[in-house]
Amino acid sequence: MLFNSYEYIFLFLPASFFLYFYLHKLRLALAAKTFLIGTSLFFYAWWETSYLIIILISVFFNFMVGNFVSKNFPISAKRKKTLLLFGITANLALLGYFKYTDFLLENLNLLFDLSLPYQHIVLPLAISFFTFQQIAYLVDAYRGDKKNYSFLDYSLFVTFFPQLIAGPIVHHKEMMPQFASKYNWVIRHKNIVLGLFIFSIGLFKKVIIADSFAIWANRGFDIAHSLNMLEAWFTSLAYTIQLYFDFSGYTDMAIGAALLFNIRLPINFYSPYKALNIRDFWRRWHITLTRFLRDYLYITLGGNRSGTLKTYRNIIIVFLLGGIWHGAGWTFVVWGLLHGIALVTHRIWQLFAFTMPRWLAWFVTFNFVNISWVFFRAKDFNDAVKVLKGMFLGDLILPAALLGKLHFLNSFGVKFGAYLDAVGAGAEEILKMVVMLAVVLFAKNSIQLTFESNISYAKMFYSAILFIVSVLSMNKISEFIYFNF
Amino acid sequence: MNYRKAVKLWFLLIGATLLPITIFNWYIDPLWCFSHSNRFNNHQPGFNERQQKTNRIYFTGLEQYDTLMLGSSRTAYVNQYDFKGMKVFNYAADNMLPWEYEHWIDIAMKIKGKPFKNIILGIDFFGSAKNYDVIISRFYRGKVPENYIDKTIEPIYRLKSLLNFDALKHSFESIKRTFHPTISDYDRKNVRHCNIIVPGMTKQQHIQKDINEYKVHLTTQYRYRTEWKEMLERMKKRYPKTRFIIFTTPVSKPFFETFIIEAGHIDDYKRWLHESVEVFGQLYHFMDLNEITCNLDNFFDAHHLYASAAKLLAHRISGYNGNDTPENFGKLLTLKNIDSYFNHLQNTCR
Repeated sequence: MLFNSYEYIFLFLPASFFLYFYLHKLRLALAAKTFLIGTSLFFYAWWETSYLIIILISVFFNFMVGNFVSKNFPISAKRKKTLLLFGITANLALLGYFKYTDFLLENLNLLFDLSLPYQHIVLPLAISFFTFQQIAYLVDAYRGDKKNYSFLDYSLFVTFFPQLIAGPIVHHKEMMPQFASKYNWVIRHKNIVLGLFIFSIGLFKKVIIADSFAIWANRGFDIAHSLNMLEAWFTSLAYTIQLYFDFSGYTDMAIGAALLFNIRLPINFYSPYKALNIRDFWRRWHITLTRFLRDYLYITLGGNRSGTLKTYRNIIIVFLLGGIWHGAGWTFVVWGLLHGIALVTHRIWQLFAFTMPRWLAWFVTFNFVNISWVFFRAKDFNDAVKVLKGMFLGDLILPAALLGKLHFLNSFGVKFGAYLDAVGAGAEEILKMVVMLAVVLFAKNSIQLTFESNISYAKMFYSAILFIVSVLSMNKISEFIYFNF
Repeated sequence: MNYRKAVKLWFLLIGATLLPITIFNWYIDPLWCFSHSNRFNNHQPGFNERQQKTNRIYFTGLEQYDTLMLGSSRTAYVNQYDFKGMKVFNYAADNMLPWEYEHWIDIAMKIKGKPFKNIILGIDFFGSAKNYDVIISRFYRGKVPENYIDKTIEPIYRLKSLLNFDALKHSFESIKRTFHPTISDYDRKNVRHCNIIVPGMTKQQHIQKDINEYKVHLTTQYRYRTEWKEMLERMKKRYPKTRFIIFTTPVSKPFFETFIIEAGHIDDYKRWLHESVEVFGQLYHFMDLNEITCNLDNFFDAHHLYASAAKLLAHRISGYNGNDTPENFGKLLTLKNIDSYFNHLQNTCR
């Protein structure tokens, strides 16, 4: 069930909300919790019931392993470590099997000239997310960093529907106390106000903005055979905007839905395109993934405690793995590697205490992010090369209307004519893009609007308008990009 | 801020906006999910006939129909109630291509729950052009007929059909057409009307426009659909309990002359007819030069009949022995007479 679907908005969410609090009203806390797990599993099974068994086995397995490796369980430390490694390996094996089998076969075929048949395994939704969440849980259990949770609490932590499919990647420490707090067992109107407000923003981001830009990005990446310079830049920027509004929109809806149940999910986006350097970008983009990679991979590898070169090595490793986590393809590896190199470069830059004007810092960061997204989006290297070639080596074609004023540019090889035909865009679309870029660069983000300033009646009025416009535009349901990861 | 009040106001605003839109769209019902009829929903645009008609049959059923009619826009203009002794549902839609027939029959039969007594197929010479598929594919955007029924059976589809801007736009269009009818309005009984008389001058422009539009793919790019016969045979085999009634759709004289005679497609035309007769044994042939097609007053453009002429077609097919149908309109071609018909045609063309 998609957040931007009629079923979810008009049936599932209201029904879950009212029944959950009705059970609490009857003082049936355990039943309410069980009900919320049930609805979350129903939400998950909506796409494919066969996925259900995978998540149930995964939850049960990790809960058991978590108990065995925890501080109080009476087995030796060595055994606990072995169990922990087994638990992490099992999680990664499950993820690997579903996500990377064909990728592995493809590379084996290529390397050794084999013709091993592809398995075409369907990737269960959310597997990348709940795998990471549970690995973190196991590691914390081993470190003695978790309390004793019941199976029910643990199940709710993993399956809670607002964050189940595409994050934010929640941490047991921030979720369990909230589920347990009696304060959260009654309807809180303030949270409903905040929830509806941010949910409406998220819905609008997805339905109106991301899905519009998706059309042009898809044309540029998937349909066009070649792109001139303007078309290529338009394509890459369209995807840059689409991805941000799509994913942050999804997160806003997740945060909003969770708030209705008095659960505060962690922030996942904080105006990433305002970043002035690449490190800053990763503090603002997919924050919960960055947090996971830092706490459970970067620090485990030694972090920055083992000298400069090893720190750089660790950063590269983390981002290579971060890249491959997003998808089974070399384009993702390259994307991760580029970001790893960029982060290392930034550290070297800081070592020499170089500085640059803020506007230039932003310009370099934004363009790096925009260009690297090309690898993230492209189906294969040919697509990526097509777009990049257009961006840097494509013909510069300007609107024919400008010929009168700028005809002198002809001598520099500039042409005049159909300038955005391949992506099916024109002056109106350019204006939309400029407006959206202005929004991401200058406007307050949804987190600031919701949590860092007062909610007023006027704000609620505007959010209602956003909600209405979005709902009435939902006739073409599209899936969220991050469901593929 | 009073949060409780804010929540109430938010929902009040949502309700006060979405509820009237929902009720208004339900009242007009542009996607044909309901069966009610009123003054303002009897001139509806067939903006997506495949979806609209699929919704209609899914939500109101096909129990009362014993005959299914398929074809393109030329067939869509035939009034299903003009067939005598048959209860026809007209499932035809703009640009319906031959490969779609089987899909739509399957969908309709699944909804009906049993085979149809008759299936009436309105076949067009356009459909014999293999290259036409490519041109029309832009309408489908990769869709197949099953996509339409899949949409219809989605949960709360009826609510979805009411709660969107597109529906609202088409609802307003319906109201507009109530006062300003067009050449293509659907009423609530699934009848497509041309509700205006096209003046002679305008008609000439329409005819020229149509000829220009079809020129490329019916002349220079034309490739005969070699799988035509095989497709018909497969269809006949798949629905053994159903009687197939085939007819060719009439087009105006200028259109026929341009694309059959002048474009040099007479052999393709003959092959198309012959193969159709070989499979089904007979067909009602309207697409030639006859009393109706030679009189432009029967058409509102180059290849769409007014209701009065389309009625004669239905009468001929359903064997209604009125005195109104010209003898040479809808000749019954069989394996016995088809060759002599071709000889006659050859002489006419000369």
